[in-house]
Amino acid sequence: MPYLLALSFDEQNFVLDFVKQSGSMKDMSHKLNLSYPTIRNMLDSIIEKINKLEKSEK
Amino acid sequence: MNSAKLLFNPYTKLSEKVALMIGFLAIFPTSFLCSHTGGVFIDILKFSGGAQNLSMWKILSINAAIYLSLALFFLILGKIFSKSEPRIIDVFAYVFFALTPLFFVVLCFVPESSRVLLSPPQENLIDWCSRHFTILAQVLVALSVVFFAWTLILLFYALKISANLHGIRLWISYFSGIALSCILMRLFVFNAICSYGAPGEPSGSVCCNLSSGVNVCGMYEGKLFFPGQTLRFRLFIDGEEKLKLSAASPDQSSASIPIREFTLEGAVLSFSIPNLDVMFKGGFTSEDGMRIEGTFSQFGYKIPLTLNKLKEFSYLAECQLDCEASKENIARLANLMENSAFISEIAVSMDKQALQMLSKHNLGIPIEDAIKQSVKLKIETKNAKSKLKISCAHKSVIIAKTLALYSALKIQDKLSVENAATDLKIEILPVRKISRDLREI
Repeated sequence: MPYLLALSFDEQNFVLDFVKQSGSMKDMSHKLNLSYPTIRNMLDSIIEKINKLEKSEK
Repeated sequence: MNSAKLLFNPYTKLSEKVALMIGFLAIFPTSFLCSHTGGVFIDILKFSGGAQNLSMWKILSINAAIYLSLALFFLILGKIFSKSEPRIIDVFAYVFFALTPLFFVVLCFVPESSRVLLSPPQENLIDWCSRHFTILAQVLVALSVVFFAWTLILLFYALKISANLHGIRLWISYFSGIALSCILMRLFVFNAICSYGAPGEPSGSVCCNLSSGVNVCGMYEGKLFFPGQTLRFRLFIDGEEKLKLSAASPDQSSASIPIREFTLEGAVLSFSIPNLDVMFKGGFTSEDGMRIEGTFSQFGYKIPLTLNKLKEFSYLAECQLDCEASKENIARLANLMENSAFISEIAVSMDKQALQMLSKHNLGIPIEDAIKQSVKLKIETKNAKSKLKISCAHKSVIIAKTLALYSALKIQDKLSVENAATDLKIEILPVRKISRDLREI
């Protein structure tokens, strides 16, 4: 199963918005009305989740 | 509910640039209030009084140092414990913002009723508390605790969001960061800033001369008119190597009290003796440096005070010695010198034996030169077995005291005294001029 589907609904929406903002966390913070560190923390937590999924699959 | 959350954790919505700007700007009014109340943050956990003599620049520097040290340690700990890479601007901005409520903490000590609580005495604390811990003071102190708790919570979330820390790592980083900042401030930074010269002035400058070139070292005397009594007040300004002040109330005690908290900037003089709740703010009001005028306050009671410099003064130190020069007694003498005002920071060149006994005290002035500088010694003995009384006069109280003791030790070696005694007495009496009947050894 693609790792993206293992993410929660909110996390998937976050990834979608991130792609649509061309990977700019600054634009993401403006769009979601959240601070830059908060956006970065959310992205870091998604990255960590995906890494765990990869490790568990191996 | 969301508003309440934002009160403690505004960082999800607060941009780092806005946070940095607010936090940075807040240092200035906080420092201004500190200067006004006479209080200062020694570190993030301690707000203390007795800082009336600190300039605005120094208070600003101390507050900035607290902000920077906290942010720096949080950044370092974030880099160690976080799985993300914390940005410098995020950590500094959010920590600076978190310390903004300290302004309200200091604001609670602006009223006189709470301000006096910043400098409690070391003795009779219960009696002092019963007089000063009024209802208003209690409310203000409680309010300051609330604002301080708010600051600590904001600091916690600042670290959490800026460094992306969670769980046990977050708690370890939080407490370690605060502890390290406190240690750094208390051991190094606070004292370094306090002892540094004001902007534009060289640090550690010898201070007998005002910027106008007038020599102000000497003894000043004035009268304090309390209801029901009048007391003499003496101020000694000494500038042998470093400016030193001491005070005395000769009508109450012959002992002099070292003044460790004072500033002399230009002609403006202020000092405080926290354990006696004494404060003085004033300055040199005559061009020849012969007069100091200002306001003396103790326990909230303010009195105008004018001090006039005594001309041709010298100190007469008398050392009454009637014990044998055993190692134990010499050690006791050394302890006595250590506990006397100024003595512990100076020394005199002595012969080898005395040097071995008092090696930690270092004046740097050869005893022979000191003798040549109008020092006269007087020895009185009623009979061969009586007590020795050695009087030593010198313009500097430090030299007078030390020489009296040193001379007593020297004499003790040469003359035999049969009776061992348990008490040593050193009495410092300021005199107008050196008495003519004193003769040199």
